[in-house]
Amino acid sequence: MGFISNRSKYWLERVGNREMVGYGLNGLPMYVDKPEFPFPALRYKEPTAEIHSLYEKQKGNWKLLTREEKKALYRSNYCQTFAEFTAPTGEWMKVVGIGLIMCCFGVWLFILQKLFVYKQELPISFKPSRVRAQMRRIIDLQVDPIMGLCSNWDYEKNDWKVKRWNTPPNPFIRCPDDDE
Amino acid sequence: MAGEVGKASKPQLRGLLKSQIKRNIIVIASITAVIAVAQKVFINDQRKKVYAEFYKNYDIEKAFHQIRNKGLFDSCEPDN
Repeated sequence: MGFISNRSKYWLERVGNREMVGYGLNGLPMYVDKPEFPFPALRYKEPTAEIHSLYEKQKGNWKLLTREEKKALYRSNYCQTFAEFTAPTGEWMKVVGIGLIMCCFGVWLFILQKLFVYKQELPISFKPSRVRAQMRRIIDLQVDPIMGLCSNWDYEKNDWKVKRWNTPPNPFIRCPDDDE
Repeated sequence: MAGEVGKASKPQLRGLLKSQIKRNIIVIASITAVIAVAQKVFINDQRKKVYAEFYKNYDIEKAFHQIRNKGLFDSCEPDN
């Protein structure tokens, strides 16, 4: 029989009585349901006398076979129908679940960082009066006057040209906490 | 089987990858052309117009003296 590789020997031990009916996937004597290549090398079930009689009947006119006989022939040759082995498995739920759990680990890292790494007391430049002072300096320096921040500032009116949801309040208005 | 069926046209049997690649290239080229023209008209030309409007009546000396008189420069002093 020539050289038989170890993989072929493995599958040949599992053939048993079954008939080989073709070359199969890459020449292996294996049964597998594949939608891309639905021509396995073996019949699925071992031969019995009834199946042999059906094979004889199958050689004639197919219109004489009843539906039950056609089904018996299919099931003896194949393990599952196309509809059965291409049915959705629901594995996407597992994948999405594990992905979201990994995202939760990231969120936990963020929370622990805020609690244990950063100081609870913010630096002095975060105070609102200081932020307003910085805003006044930016507007005085005319930063980004063409398409950026100061393009929205009206220098005659001393206020914003267009007030949207994200424009800060007018920093030139004096507030009670504007300390030194 | 039941009844007569009309003659079906023969499907394409060879050169499937080649025809798929040709179709993909045509679709991608047309989409890219549309996006490029839209980018030029709606984004690039608009930006150039905004810059031109700004620089038409921009007096840089006046802006310099405004910022200098607020005391924001390190190398020049304000007027007072």
